[in-house]
Amino acid sequence: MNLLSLYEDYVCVRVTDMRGVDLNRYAFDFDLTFGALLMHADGHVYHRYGGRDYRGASHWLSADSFESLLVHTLADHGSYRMTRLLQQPKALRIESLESFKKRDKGECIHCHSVYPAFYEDQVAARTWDPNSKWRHPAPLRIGMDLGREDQRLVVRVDGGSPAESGGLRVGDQILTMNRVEVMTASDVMYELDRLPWEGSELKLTVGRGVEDLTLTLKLEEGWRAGSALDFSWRPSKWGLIPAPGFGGPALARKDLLEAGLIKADHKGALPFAIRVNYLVTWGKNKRFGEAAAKAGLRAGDLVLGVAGRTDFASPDHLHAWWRLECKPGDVIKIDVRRSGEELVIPLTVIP
Amino acid sequence: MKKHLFTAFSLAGFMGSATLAQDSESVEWLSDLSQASELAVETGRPLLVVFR
Repeated sequence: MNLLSLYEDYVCVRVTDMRGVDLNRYAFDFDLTFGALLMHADGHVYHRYGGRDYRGASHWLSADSFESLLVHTLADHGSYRMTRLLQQPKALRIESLESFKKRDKGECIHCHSVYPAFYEDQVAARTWDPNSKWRHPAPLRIGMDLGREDQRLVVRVDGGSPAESGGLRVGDQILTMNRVEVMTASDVMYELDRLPWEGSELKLTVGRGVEDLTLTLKLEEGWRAGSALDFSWRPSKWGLIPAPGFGGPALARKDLLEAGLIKADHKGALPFAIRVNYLVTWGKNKRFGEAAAKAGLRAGDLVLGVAGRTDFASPDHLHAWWRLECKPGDVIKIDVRRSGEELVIPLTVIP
Repeated sequence: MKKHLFTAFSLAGFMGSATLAQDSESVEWLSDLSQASELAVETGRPLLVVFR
């Protein structure tokens, strides 16, 4: 069996424009650049696919796992019986949001525009809850990790985590979460997304050897919050403020060598360094670029550290950290190298 | 009904499958969700909705 023959058993739809899409009916992590829903025409979603965390967009993508999912879902579809009238939530379309209407130019709407639109709308209505940005928590959030080919397979359990405390073990297969069958990392993250910030019990049915067991994991208040690194991959971070007002690419190895920041025999992770190639001079966030310029930052500067930190994994990580951790009024010291000279630029965070 | 040619290659390429990328056959994918749902009802098939 292969994917091409499996597609014939489905009605295949590819959506590249979110205009007109009911975000409640077709609900998934809108920050993804690739997401798939396997559904009944009545709106019931059998499974989701395409989820990721900070480790990369393809971390849980493979043709083999997708093929397995398509096969499994055909069986789900064959045995599906609508047991209750599906209560369809009221349709929600991004173009109906007041804040979006004001800037809608009729252009194509990307998936990753959805969360920023929610953010703008809720900020304008003064209903924004900062905790709500922690969407579709990754399995690592509760202390477990899942395999790539078999995404029900637990491949890691962190010590002291809700997963370990609840009795989960490496090698377990997660069958259901709160009585909902899961097949993929996306399914797991969707079920975690349904659990409240305030904490909850999470009931797992797991296969262990020849047995099926029920485990209860206890999630404490605030469990959904991750780190800036966890959040760094999300394109929706660009909509959050405060922003640093500058950015640029990480220096490649040869650039680091040329700058004298590493030696030729350097092994292991490369040190953090970005070359500023823009200050924000456009749009509603240009005030941040103006503040960075006023503080003394220039295009071409090498940023070697921020607030004493040199452990950012990527420019995305720095951007996420600034938006999540920095508050208006904070003075952030930026370690810069310019034309061979070392500088410290104090940048006051503005609202 | 607007149909969208979306090669298995591009999907597979995104997913890193070299084997599937060699397959040059195209799969016709719809682009209208409402019409796809109607077709799913008519044919009894499930929907595969890809957002990309």
